[in-house]
This record gives sequence, structure tokens and C-alpha cells, in this order.
Amino acid sequence: MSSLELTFITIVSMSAPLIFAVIGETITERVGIVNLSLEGTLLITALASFAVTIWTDSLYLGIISAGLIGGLIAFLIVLINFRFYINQIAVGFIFTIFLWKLSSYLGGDFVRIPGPYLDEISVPILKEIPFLGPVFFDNNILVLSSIILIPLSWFFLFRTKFGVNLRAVGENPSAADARGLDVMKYRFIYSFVGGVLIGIGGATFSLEVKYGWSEGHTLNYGWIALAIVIFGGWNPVRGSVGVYGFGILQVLSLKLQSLTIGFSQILPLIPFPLMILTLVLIQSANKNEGRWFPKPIRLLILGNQPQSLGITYKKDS
Amino acid sequence: MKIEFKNISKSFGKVQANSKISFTISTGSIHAIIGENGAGKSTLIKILSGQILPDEGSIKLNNKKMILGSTQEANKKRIGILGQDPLDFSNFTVLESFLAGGNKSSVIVSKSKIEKIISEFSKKFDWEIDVNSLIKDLSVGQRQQLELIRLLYLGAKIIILDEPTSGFSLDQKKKVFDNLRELAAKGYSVILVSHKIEEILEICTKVTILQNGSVLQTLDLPVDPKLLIKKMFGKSSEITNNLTPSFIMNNNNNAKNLSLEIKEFSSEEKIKLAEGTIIGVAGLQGSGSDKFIKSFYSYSPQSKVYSDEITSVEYSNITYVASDRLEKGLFPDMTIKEHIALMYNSKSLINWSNTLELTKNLINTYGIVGNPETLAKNLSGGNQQRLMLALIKENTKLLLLEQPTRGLDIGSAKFVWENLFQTRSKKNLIIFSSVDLDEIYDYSDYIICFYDNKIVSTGYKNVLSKSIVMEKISGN
Repeated sequence: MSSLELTFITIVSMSAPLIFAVIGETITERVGIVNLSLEGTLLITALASFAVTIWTDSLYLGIISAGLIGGLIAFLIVLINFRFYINQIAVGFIFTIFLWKLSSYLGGDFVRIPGPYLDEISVPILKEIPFLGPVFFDNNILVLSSIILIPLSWFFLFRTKFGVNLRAVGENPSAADARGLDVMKYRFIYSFVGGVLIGIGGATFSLEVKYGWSEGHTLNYGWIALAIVIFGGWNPVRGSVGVYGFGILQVLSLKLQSLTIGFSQILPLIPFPLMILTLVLIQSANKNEGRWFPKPIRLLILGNQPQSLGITYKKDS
Repeated sequence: MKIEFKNISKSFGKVQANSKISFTISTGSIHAIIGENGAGKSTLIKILSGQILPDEGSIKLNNKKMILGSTQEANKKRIGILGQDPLDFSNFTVLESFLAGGNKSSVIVSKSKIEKIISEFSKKFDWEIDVNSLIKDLSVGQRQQLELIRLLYLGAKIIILDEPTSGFSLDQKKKVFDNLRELAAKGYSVILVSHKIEEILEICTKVTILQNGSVLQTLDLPVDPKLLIKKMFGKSSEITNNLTPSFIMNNNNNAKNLSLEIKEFSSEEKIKLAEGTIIGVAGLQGSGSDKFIKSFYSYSPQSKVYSDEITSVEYSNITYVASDRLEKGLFPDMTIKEHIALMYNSKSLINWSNTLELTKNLINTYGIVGNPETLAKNLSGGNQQRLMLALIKENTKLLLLEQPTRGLDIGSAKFVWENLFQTRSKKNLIIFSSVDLDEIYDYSDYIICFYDNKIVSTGYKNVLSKSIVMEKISGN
């Protein structure tokens, strides 16, 4: 295996948890809900999947429990918002801090235990294909699913009836309601789905990227995911491009550390100003009714925030 | 389908929007509901379409009780509503907005199929809708057209049109009406909420008049339009056009001359006019007349008004009243009092007791139905427009009005114009746009005709005849 190929595989594998988190959050925000608990959810689900796997000796139970916990947290945020009209952002923020503290309290017993991890599923012959082989046919199920999830979620959001309805609820819930869509149901279901994906992202951390558990195990990736969702214009494909770009810069900085001093430390910082630049570009496409952009390009780079994102929905009474 | 309203009541806080409303709409009829702004029409319609749950009462469809307060149920019963502000999704493409919520499409979206449907309907009505453009790039009229196509495609059996025709040209309107008659003949029920008496007399078979939330009367049409107006407005029904200004009277020798610089829209670079003139900008929906109005209002405007050779009217002396009142004119979640405080306070600390007094006065002067603590979004359209008038800056020299009476009833529209004529006596220039030619002829001195984003004709009212204007704005 060439070193370039190895680097490629490292980037794809390392990015898997972020892909899950970004796509999960993208779906959630597309239906109009901000799940700001991302960082906390990743931490608690990383711990949960690891602990459950140790107790039950089943990796799949570990992954499933992480997914369910992630979904449950999202469900709670929506429930509190709907029942008591409490701001989603406030609730999500409190959840982040609470879950972070909770994970470090509950995780004490699991620190530095050598842990289980996912095996590769190898397909003979096919795995010999350069680059694609090791990624698709000699990899574990989580990394593989993270790749498949990208086109799948895009297709769901933009090419199916359910996806259009989901986004309609996030854009203009009153109009969606007038057209007979059950806003509440949509928000509960798809926030839950998004939460499950985020939870699986947490499991991917402890079972795949960084085996085991340690305090602050998820490296603040939750916050980074929240930024990448915006960078990606609430589109799973663009968001994933952002995730891999972020991964490339991370790996580069590791590689270059031995060669240069000083410069490589700057590399991990690059994504952030880059994100802001991209947002400026997107904004200028919106402005002036985007007159100077050819229509297809404009539609491609348009990244409008779902219009009712984070706004509590109350039906006329 | 037969629709029976029985004892429908609904109140919002202290305001009784509907009280014990009962009447029947028979199968295959085109039924009008009229009433002043705030008479309870919108509430009643929102109850029928499931958006609002009434406090009491019931609705029967073909003698079967309907579950109220559920839009799902209303959709199942094939009730479709076309609102004055279409309920669509501004960031979506036409295609996506068309599909959202529809239960007829397949799981995987078929673009070509939907394109075909939209283009077939558009051809029938002579409309032009680009399925690939974004909803926010369409005019309000086009959005309404798209909504109507959607309702027909989904097979709505009860079609509610809430003040719909402001976005349609005369020809288009005729085609829509023909189609509605056809549908009614097939047993559909059409409900038309409108302020336009001629329109109602043209296509409706029955009319129910609402007043202060109750049914005043249901009449078979046709009747004398004057009677209808009288019933609708009670005492305030003396609608006359004696407000009509005569430009000659106004064109006295003392008035200063102004000139309009309008390079972007015309080959003529300047138009010279007397101070105090009211300019009506005529054009159909999407003709660019609204863009023209807007082009005066900016720090570095494309179009300017010069009070002499070199000085143009400053930004701070221009007031722009947008047609989209809640989106561009007011702050939906702020109270009337807070709006007044913003406008009439120059100090950093707001004197709330003075503001309250002022607010009460302005509410009285402008006849706003509401109290100082009412949120702008909870006012009816007519009252929102009154509030906008109350907020016009005192130092205004150039007043820009985009469709100033869009969606207003005759009483409110009359109030708006009376008020504007008072403003004019202060020697301001008023420029307004309207899709309603009668409004242009009733209230302007000088007329600018728009077609395809260009000025196609200009002139004083007595020189430019209505038939010429009609031809010019439709591109002949």
C-alpha cells in the first residue's frame, strides 16, 4: 500500500464520526430544529457505546444504544420546545454542558480500559483495487456506512417527497401546516433520526477513531460539526466536502510536523477563516437577487438557512 | 359540495372575531363573502381550512360534520385555500414549492412530470412560470397563479380564494373566472373573499355580508352594487370620487418646478413637474413599476428627484411605504406603541408616558382598530396600512408608495387616500404604483406607464386617456 493511499484511507476513516454528526445535524436543522447539544451528545454516546460494548460484548448493541440515546436527547429538546415553548438553543446549550459533565462523571471507570473495536469486512479480490478497494471492500461497517450515507441523505432530502415536505416544515411551518403537513410529527421524527445519526457518530469515535474512552474524548468535534453544517449550506454533500477538507488539513499538519516547524501548527487553523470566506461568497450569491451568477451556479452555491430554524412553532389558537 | 356553517364563534383575547356565524353555501355555487377589514372574513376562512379551531360551532360538508382545527382533515376533505399572501416557500424552487405537502406525487420526485403539469395549466391560463426559478424571484401574482394551479392539480373540491385577483391582468382574470365557472358547473364550490364589488357581481351567485364578526345577510346575486356597498359599510358608505384632484387647479404659478431623473428606465432622462404633483405608476404585476418606486429609495439611488438644477431630495427626506407591510414596513413582533416610540423619539431615553399619549392620539386620528399594546402582526391589513401612514416622517419631501391599497377594503382605501391628500397639501411629491387603473385615474395627476421594466408612456391625466394607458401597459 502506497503512503498516499494510506493517507487517503486515514482521512476517510478519521472523518467518519464528523460525517455522521454533520449529516444528522443537517437533517435536524432542515426540519427547523437546532440541536445545539451536539458536543454533549457525541461525548455521552461515545461513552455509552463503549460501555455497552464492554458489558454485553456486542459491538452492534453498543452502536444501537448510542443511536437510541442520541435520538432520545434530540426528542427531548423538541419536546421541551413544543410543550413549554422554551428556546431550542437555550435547551441545547444546557444539554451540552450537562452531558459533558455527566460523561466525565460516569466515564471515570472506563478511562484507559483497552477496548473492543470494529473488525474490517474484507471482500477478496475487490479489496485490491487501488484507493477504492481498501475504502469500500476492506473497511469496517461504520466507515462504510458514513460514505454511503452522503448520497443517500442528499437523495432523500432533495429528490423524495418526504425530503421536500421535511424542508417545507423547516422553511415555513405555517404554510406547511396549511397544506396538511403535521409540523409536530415531522419535527419529532426527523430530529429523532438526526439524533440517531449523531449518536452513531459518537459511537464511531470510541469504536473506530480513538478506541476506548477518555475525558473530552471527542476533541470538540461537536462544535466543529455545527460550523460545517452552516459551511455546507445545509446540504449533506457540501457538508461532507467540508468534513473531508477539514480532515485533509488535519492529516497534512500531522505529516508536516516533522518537516517544518511553525507552519504546520497553522494548518489546523485554516478551515475556520476558509469557512467564513465561503459564507461571504454564499451571501453574495443571495444578494442583488444573484443577478450576475448564471442560474445553475447560483442554485448550486445558494445556501439559505432554513427560514424557521430555531424558531418555536405555535399554531394559531 | 354543500357547506353549512353553524353558530361559529371565535375570539382572540377581548376581540370577538366571529360570533354565531351561520349560513349555507350550496353545491356548485360561487359564493362571495364580503365585509370591511376586520369583519371576520379571514378568521372564518381559516376555520374552514383547519388553521384555526373555533371556540364553538360546527361545519357540515354534505350533511356530515367535519373535524375542526385540523388542516390534515381539511386537506382530506379537499378544501384548498389561495391566500392573499400565498402560503409557499420563498427559498424553494417553483418545482419544490409546488410539491410540498401534496399527497398526490410519487415518493421519488419526477421533475419532468410536474413540469408538464405546470406548463399545461399555464398554457390554459396564458401564464408564464419558469419551474426552475426560485419562489422569491417570482412576483406575488405569479405565486398566486402557481398556487391556483397546485390546488386544481390536487383536485380541491372546495376552493377558497382570499382576495386573489390583485395579481392578475384583466385577460388573465377573465380566464381564471371562466375556469371557476366551469368548476362550479361540475359541482365544485368556490368561495371568493373580495373587496371588489364588480368582480363579485361578475361571477358570484350568492353573497354573504359580514359585519363586526356576525352575518348581516346572505343575498342572491345580482343586486344593485350601490345596495351592496351600503350594506357592507353601513354609515360610511358614501364613496365618492370628489377627492379627485384637478392638476390644473394645483398647477399654480407659485409652485416650484421639480425634475425626475430616471435614466435606468427611460430614454427621456428627465421629467419636469410641478411641486405637489401626485404621480401614478401604472403597470401590471411584474411590469417593473414597483422596482421603479424602489429605485428612488437608497443612499445612492438610481432615480432621483431634483428640487432645482443641482439639489436632489435627500435620503432622510424620503419615505418609502412597501406593499409587503409585515415584511418590509413594520416589525411584526413589536407593539404599536413601540413603533411610535421608534419614529417619534430623538432622545436616547424613551419617555414612555408621552409616547403612550401620542400613540393613543395617533390611534384615534388614524382610526386604527387596536390598542397601544397590540402587536403589528395581529392587526388586520387595513389597520397595518393605517399604522404605516401614522409612521410617515414629518419632514418627508418625497413619498413613495408601493401598491398603497393592496388588499384593503373600500373604506380603508378611501381613508388612505384622504390622508395622502392632506400630506400633499404640504407640497410634497407623491409617487405611487398600482395595478388598479381606476385607482391611478382617481388619484394621480400625472401618469407613468410601465411595461417590461421600461417606461412606455408618460403624461398628465387629461392628455393620456384610459384606453391608451390600457394598451401601453399591456405592451401594445
